[in-house]
Amino acid sequence: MLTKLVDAKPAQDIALIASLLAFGAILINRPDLPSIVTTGILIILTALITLIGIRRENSDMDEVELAAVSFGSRWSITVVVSFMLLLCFLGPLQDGVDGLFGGAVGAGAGPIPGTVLIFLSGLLTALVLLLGSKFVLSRIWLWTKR
Amino acid sequence: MKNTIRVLRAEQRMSQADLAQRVGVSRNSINSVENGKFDPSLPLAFRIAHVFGRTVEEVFDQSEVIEGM
Repeated sequence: MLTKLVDAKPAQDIALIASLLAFGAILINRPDLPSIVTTGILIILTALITLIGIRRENSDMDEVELAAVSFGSRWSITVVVSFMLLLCFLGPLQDGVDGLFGGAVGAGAGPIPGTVLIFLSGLLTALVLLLGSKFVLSRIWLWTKR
Repeated sequence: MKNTIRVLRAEQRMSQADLAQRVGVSRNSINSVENGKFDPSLPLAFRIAHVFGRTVEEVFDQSEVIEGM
């Protein structure tokens, strides 16, 4: 029974989302917690997400789907680099990013200094862009192979 | 790569889903291979040929591959 529950993908997803929400709630409501505790929880959650991702990728995909993901992974890097280059040279894009993050980053948020927030927001944006473009490119590749 | 999967399936009254289940891939993957949009790996080609009781050469047209050499 327990094995079935652990192997069930929706159960894993719900458990992970619940853990992440709980972690967020802890961070907001208990800012006095030692950083070693919060870092430890974060590392454990990240390791769990990685393990589930690797296991799922190896077990569930056939060779066409793997080829699609491989294509998406390769070209999503190009998307991120292109976005970075556009951000360097396109004024309207710079204004958009400034409008989105400028206010929050300038002052910093609570105990997090502004520079760390700049780094984190950049990292997060790159991650979202990378994963989003990987997903979209994989789907497009699969669609062309129909 | 051109192939005779559609014909062989029709002969054996087998759906794409049935074939996919027997060779252990998704139905969409069988569709891609059948339409010649995706070249299967050697193990998958062997499995598909085995299901139909044929050799790989009988299922997959190798002329395009050899001409490209």
